[in-house]
Amino acid sequence: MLKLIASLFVLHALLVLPVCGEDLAGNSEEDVDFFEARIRPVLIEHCQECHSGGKNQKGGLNLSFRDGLRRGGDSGAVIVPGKANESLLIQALKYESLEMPPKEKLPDRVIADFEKWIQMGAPDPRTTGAGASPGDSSFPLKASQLWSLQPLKVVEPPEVSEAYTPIDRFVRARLLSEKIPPSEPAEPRVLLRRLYLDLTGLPPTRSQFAAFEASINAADSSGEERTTRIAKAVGKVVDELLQSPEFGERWARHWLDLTAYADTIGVGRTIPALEAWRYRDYVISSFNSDKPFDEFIRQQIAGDIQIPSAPSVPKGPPPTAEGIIATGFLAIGPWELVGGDKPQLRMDVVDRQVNRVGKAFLGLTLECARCHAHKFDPISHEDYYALAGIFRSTVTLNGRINGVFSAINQSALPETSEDLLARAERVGRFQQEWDDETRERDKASAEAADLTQQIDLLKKKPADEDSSATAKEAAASEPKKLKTEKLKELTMQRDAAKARAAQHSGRLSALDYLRRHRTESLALAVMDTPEPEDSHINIRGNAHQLGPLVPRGFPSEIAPRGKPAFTRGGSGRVQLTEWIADERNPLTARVWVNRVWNHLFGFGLVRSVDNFGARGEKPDHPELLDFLAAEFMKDGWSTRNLIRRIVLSRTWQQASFSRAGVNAGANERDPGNRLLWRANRRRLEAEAIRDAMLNVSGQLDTKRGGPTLPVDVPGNFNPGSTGSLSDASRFPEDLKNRRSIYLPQKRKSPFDEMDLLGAFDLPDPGQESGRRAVTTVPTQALFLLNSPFVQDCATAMAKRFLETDTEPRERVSSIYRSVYGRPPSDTEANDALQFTSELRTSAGKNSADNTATDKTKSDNSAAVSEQQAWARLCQSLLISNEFLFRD
Amino acid sequence: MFSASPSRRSLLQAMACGFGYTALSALAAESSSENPLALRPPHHAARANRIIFLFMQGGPSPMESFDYKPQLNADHGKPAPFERDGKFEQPGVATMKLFGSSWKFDRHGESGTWVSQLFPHIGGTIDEIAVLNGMHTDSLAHAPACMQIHTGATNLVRPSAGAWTLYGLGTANQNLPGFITINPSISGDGGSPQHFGSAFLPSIYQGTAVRLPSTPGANADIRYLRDKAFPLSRQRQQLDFLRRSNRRHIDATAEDAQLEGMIESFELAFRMQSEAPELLKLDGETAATQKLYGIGEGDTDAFGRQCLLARRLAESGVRFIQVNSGGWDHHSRISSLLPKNAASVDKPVAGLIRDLKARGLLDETLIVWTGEFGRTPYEQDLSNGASAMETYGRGHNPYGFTTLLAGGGVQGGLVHGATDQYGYRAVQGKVHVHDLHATMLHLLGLDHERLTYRYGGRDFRLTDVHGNVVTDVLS
Repeated sequence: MLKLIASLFVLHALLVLPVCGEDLAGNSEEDVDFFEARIRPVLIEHCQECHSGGKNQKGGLNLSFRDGLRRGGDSGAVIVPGKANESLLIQALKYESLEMPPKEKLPDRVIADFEKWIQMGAPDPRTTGAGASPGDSSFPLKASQLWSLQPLKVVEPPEVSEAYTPIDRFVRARLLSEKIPPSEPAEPRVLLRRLYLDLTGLPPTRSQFAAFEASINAADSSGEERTTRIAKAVGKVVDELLQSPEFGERWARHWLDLTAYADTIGVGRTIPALEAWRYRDYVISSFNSDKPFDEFIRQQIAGDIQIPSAPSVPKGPPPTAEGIIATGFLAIGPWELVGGDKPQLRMDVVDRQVNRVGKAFLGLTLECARCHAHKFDPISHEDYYALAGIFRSTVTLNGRINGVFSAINQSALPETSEDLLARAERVGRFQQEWDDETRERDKASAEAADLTQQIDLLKKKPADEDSSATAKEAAASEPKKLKTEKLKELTMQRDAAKARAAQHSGRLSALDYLRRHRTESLALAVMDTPEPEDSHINIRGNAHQLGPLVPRGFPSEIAPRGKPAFTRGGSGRVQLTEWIADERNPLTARVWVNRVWNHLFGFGLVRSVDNFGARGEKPDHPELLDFLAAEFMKDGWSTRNLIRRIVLSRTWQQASFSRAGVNAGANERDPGNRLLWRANRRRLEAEAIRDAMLNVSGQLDTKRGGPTLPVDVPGNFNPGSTGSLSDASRFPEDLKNRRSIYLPQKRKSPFDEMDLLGAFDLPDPGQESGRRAVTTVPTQALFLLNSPFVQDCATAMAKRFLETDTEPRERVSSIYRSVYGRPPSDTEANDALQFTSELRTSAGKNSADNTATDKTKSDNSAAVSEQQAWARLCQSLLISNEFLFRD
Repeated sequence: MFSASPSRRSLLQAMACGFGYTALSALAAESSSENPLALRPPHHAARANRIIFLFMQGGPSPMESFDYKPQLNADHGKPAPFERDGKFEQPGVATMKLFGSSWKFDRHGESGTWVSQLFPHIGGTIDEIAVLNGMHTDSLAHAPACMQIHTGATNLVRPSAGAWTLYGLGTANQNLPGFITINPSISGDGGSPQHFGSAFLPSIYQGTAVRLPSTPGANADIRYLRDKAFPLSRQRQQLDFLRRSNRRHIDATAEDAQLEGMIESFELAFRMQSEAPELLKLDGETAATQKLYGIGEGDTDAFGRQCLLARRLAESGVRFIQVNSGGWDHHSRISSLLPKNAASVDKPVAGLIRDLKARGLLDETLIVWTGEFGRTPYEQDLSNGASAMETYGRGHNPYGFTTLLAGGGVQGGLVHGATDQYGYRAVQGKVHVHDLHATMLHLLGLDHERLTYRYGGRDFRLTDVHGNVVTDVLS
């Protein structure tokens, strides 16, 4: 085909050029001479270093042989034979669009040669060149070659000798064939802690441990076997935890990692995302209400749209507040609102939306197809822009601030009568505040004006006005001094009043900026554009270099296939959700089930949880994955039931090592535990560490939801042109002990009070990620040792236990029970007592500390207070492995 | 699962060896492959072992520093004979009047390189320096341009050059962070923690911020490095108790590298907090050395101490050191403000070059001095004609600016690249920020096309799909 096109071009050229001798490619001798003399040397010297095939094929362009040159690169064709001024090559040489060669512009004479050559029809005798055959032909995979695009297999759990849950039967069958026995069930105490942490993100309290033990023991009299009693008690706890509000607070955070959630928008500037909290709370409540996952998909992509029940019905019921809020999934992100290149900004937002949907729901790296066809997966350039068209037909950025800065669309929420009442109250409060500020400002201004007048008056008034002529001389210096002092005082007062007025003015303009936020019910949400539009291909992702228009649609190689009918108008987002949540879509259920498995086991059945493509991993238990995915859909897409099914399996409940050593040696054969012969011990995530410390120290504030970005703290918010949160914003005291998910997340300059989260691998809110890195670095240890946060928790604990337990050994026991859920062994108790008394003794001639400086040196030997000694004990337990790991 | 713990054996050795650089470099080389900070062999022979990146945030004016433009000076006040790129708007530049430099240029060194009178000390070391006058970048605004000079990307969250370096090469001194940034700007348009962030690279590769207060004589500090209310000897007692507890916990379960890793990280942290403060102290340096950097001399004191600290960190095996100077954004009053900025860094930078040279470290250290972009050759008058000429400044200019390179593998006394006769656009020997990054990595022995990290199914690079090594400046 290419050859045919090429020869057509040549024919075209031949029509206008005199024909002499011809070479095999149909080039005349003269043409070839011109090419050899003027063009080839330049190509070799200035172009082919980067554009000659193989590794040196920048921009996908190979200029080392004729077909490569004719084919062009990622930016499309580089020459239009016969039309020099339409040829990208000439534009690039002239430094008009691209600038090639990048080092230095070629002399005009050389460029003129190229123009002439293209006008001649670009004769080129080079039939072969370096890397003439394009690279590795095994990629991209065809849809039929990629495991994740095959339909779910209908599978029955294999038969194994003992009665297990279906999950266990899959896992056990595999272990049997590999001859690796599973580990024993985890101890009840370990299991309880695991359940609490995995389901709610909080370890059990001392009383919860006690209640669990009691429920095992109370059933003792029933004559049931211990294992049965434990199973019953566990079942009960699982149900309780899945119904607890803490469940949503934990699992919503997993989801937010996939959405690049934060409470601010810009990357360069900290522009508050004032309404983002509604989306966060929506995700929490979705998990707590066990919203069917297909509905969760529908709301987040198209919850704002009135979905007609049938094609014949023009309009569906009006969208709910919940549905509108849910589209925060698309609306909230690290948008560079101050960016000056608006067409590019718009496409950058579209790109993120395509990526986010692709990654979160489908486990695909769609972004790879933004600049060119996906190199590994069966996703074409057109597939990408078919999806991009859907999001181009969706309003995310709406309006401008100051004509320059973009703004995120805010949608008004439908309100219930209750909402309206609440709003009326908010409006009243706002008005009150507004009036107060105005009054105070006016008062201060009037005061300043009055003082100015007094000053002016005093300045004019001669010092001797009221004195008699005789006294005048004697007292002359005295009133003068008085006047100066008086003036000074008045000026100071005036300046203070002015400053107060300015402060109130500042507050008023901040209030004015926040007016809508404070008085209306708004959500950061998307909506359809009035007229849907398809997207052009953006050549190499450049919004200013447009290729052909691509009709909106879905990736053509992924089931359910076929052209979607966008007959119901709108952007096509509704149809997109239908396609994603279609039971025939091979990815959606697999990807979500795998994410849930990942959170419960520490690894997914497919370890690359965000990538089900050719470069991702293959499932370790493919049949189990398909079985779980199918069950999940049959079960009404219930995440809660899926989790219950998993945590009630023996596979999940086994210990992290075999005490009896039944699977000694398994670690050599399967170091990654892919066969699941033990549980995976894991360090707690950032939020769990912080929340657990707050909980154990009795400080956790269980207030739920609501806006938490501290824009109302005086000095934090700067109305300015875009409105921005000061980088030195103060963190309000009343947020200090809230659960981590409610802490205000800034994309830049995060609050110091949230340092723990950053230190323990909270992902950057600029990116979507289904799996967190787990790093162990000394800066974490420094934080655990020296940060006020950990020390405050420890001090709070010490104070409490010094009060409740007067006897030191009892106190040690209480502390261990609180932190670990178990009493200390004798050795531990002795060690702890020894440690506290060691701290309480003057160290005397202790000289280990030869690097301490200044004051600390002299304090070295001093005994620490009783409270501090016990606080150090508490701190040591809070930063110990037994606490920081989930076994 | 990713664990950053060095092997137990190496740690025991490290404790025996103390803080010495040589001992530790040998040690790190033999530590297990699990340690993500362990030394890794470069792709090719390295010309430099480390980078000191001197960042002048705001956009220093090239035509008043290192890009001599006699024609611009001659045509001062005339309308610019070229068009402004309309893609970006800027206030106060509509008249487009050429604005000459108020400062004299002289030839310096054996190379005879032109340097403005505002940088006499750097001029004195110019034979060690390659002046890149053909720099250009993609964005005209501070935030994206600063992001690009540090991470290569203008608006996406990408790892910083320091994080890439650490990921590529590891670090010699396991007792110190391998990537340190001194007084980074994390606020305002031109500041961001992403400038030393690791983005999707494991967070162990991110830069550690060191605060060095501008108060004369103050020492640097790392957040949470010490608990000042609790003496080290007491903390040692606590750590011993913690270690015993953790040991009992491990003994009751199976071997677990993660648990061992945590135990070791506390020991590392303890050594860091015992030893880093000593390193961060500058008062042990001789008076002569301090003088070399202009310490104790008002204008130069603050940046001088930053540069001296950079040298100490370099000596101790820190792989990538950022030194930050702010306030180069001269939209107005450039004639009175620029000299102050210039004076604050001129002597310290020259001092750093001389000091490294005297210690035999210059050959193995790459110094980069750069802003995020340059400034316009035409005047910027934010008052729109209401104020006098001396209040004028220059706008942002991404099309041409100057970067200095010195040290390992760099040809000193060289001027590479040029802008047009007015200094508006780079026209010759153009070096994009991606090219600068490719060159930095090249000098460290890394091929910027091979230094990749797979994230979300794609192999990422510092230079994305761009970048050419500027071979002309290599020695």
